[in-house]
Amino acid sequence: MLKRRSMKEGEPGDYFCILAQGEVKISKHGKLLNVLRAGEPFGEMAYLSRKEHARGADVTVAAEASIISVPTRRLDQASESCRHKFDRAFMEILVERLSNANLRLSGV
Amino acid sequence: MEHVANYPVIRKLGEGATSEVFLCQDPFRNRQVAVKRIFPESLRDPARGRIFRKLFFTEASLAGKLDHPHIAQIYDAGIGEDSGYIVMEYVPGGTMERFCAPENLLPVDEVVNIVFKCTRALAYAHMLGVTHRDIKPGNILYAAEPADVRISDFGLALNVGAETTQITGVGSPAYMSPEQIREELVDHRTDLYSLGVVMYQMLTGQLPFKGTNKFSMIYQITQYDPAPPSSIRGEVPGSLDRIVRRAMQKDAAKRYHSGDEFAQELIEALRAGLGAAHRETFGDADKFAALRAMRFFTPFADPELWEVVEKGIWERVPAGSALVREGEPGDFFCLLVEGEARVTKNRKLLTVLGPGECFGEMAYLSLERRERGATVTTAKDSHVVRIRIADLEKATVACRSNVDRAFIGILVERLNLANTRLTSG
Repeated sequence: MLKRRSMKEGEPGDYFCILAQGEVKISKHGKLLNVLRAGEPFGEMAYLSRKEHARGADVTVAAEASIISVPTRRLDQASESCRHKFDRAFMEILVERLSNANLRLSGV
Repeated sequence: MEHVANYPVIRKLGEGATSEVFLCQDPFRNRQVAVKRIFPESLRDPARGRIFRKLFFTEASLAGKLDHPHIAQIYDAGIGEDSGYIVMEYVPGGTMERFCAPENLLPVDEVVNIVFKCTRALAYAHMLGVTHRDIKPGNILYAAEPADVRISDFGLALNVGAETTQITGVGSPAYMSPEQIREELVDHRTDLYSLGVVMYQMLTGQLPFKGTNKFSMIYQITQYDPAPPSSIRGEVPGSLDRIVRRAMQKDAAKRYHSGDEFAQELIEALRAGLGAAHRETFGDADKFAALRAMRFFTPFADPELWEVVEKGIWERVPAGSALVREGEPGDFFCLLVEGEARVTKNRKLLTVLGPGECFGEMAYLSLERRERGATVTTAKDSHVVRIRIADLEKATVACRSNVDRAFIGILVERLNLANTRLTSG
C-alpha cells in the first residue's frame, strides 16, 4: 500500500483535517497511537492547545484517502456559535481518545 | 399614554426634567422594558434644545454597545425631529439612594461588594472609551437584592471615540470631581472620583461635602479634605478610609488609574478580614476575585465571569467529605477554590487536587457517560464552587464556549501526557 506522510511531529500546525474516506495512522516516536476511520478529525491538537501549536504526532495517510483540511484561521473567523459547535464536537473526540489512552495505560 | 414607539405601556415609572420613563411590554421578546421618552418641549426648547438632543443622542448611541451584567442595557432607541425614546433593561428594585439614608445603611461588606461591581462595570465601559460622568446613587439601580446592581443612565456619557466637544455644566454637583465642577475637560477618572463619593455616602449616610449652593460646593470640593468615613461610622476599617481617600483625590493623577485598580484594592480590603463575622459566606466580590485568579478562567471576559459567579454554588467543605462518589450519576462539576482533595478509584489514590483544579467534569464533557468514574474527597477544609450542568446550559454562548475551551485545554494537556507515556520507553 502506498503511504504518504501528511503531518510530522514538531511541525507548525495551522490547519486540522477531517478524514472523509480511507484510513489514517497516528504515531509518535515511531509507535502507533491510533488508526482513524472516516469521519474522524486529526491534527486538531495544535488548534485546540492553549500554548503549543506544533504537531504532537506523525500522521500517515493511505494514498486513497480523501481528506478535508480546515485552516484554523478560517475557523477563527467563523461565528461564535459555529466555533462552539466545533468545540463541542472536539470535546467528544478528546474525551473518547483520552479514555482509550488511559485504558491502554492502565494495561487493560 | 398607551404606547411609546410601539411599546404598549404598563405604567409610568417616573419623570425627570426632560423626560419620563414608562414600564412597557416588549411584544417581540416578551419581556418588560423601561422606555424613556424625551418631552417634545425639551427638544423644542430654544435655549437648551440642542443640548438635550445631544445628550439624548449620546445615550441612544450606546444601544447594544455596553453589554455587561452590571450595566443596565440599552436595547433600542430612536430620535426624530421632536420625539425620542430609549428602550432599556427594566431593573425592578430601586436606586441606591435608598441605602444612603443614615437609618438604612447596608452592612459594610455589602457596600464593598456593590462598589466592587461598579468598579468592574466602569472598567468595562472605560475600556470601550465610554465615561459615564454622572455616577451617583440615583443612577445605580438594583434588582430584587441590593447587591444585584446595574449602572444606568449614560445620558451624560462621553464617548472618547467621538470627536465632539464636552458638554459641561451638567451632572450632579455633590458627586462631581474637582475638574468636572470647574468645567474642565474630564476623562474616565472623574467616574472613579464620583464612585468614591457614592462609597463614602453608602458607608456613612452622609455626603462628604455639603455646600448650600454651587459656589460653596465648588470651594469645598476643590479645597477641603472630607472627614474619613470611620469618624462617622466606627466599624468602617482603615483600609476603606484609605480607598475612599484615594478614589477622591483632588488631583486625578493621584487617584486610581483604572476601575480595575480600584477593584483590586477593594478585594484586598475584603481579604484582609473586613467584617470577620461575615466570612462564613462568600460575597460576590470575593467569588469574582477567586475565579479571576484561577488559570481556568483566564480567557473569560468580565461579563462571562460574572455569569459563573452567579450560577455557581459556593460551599465550604470540611476535610474528609466525599464530594462525588464513584458510580453515582453526575449532573455537576466542581472547581476547588481553596484546600485539597483526593481522587480515588476502588480506594486507590489516583491524584491529589489543589486550588484552581476541577473535578467531576467528565459528567459534563461526555455526552453519554454521566456516571462518576472516581470518588473525590476533601483532604483539608476546602472552598468549592459547584456548577450544575443544567445551570450552565442556560448561560450565554460566550460563557459556555469559554467553559468548553477551558476544558478542551485541560483535555489536550492530559491527552498529550497520556500519548507521551504511551510512546516513551
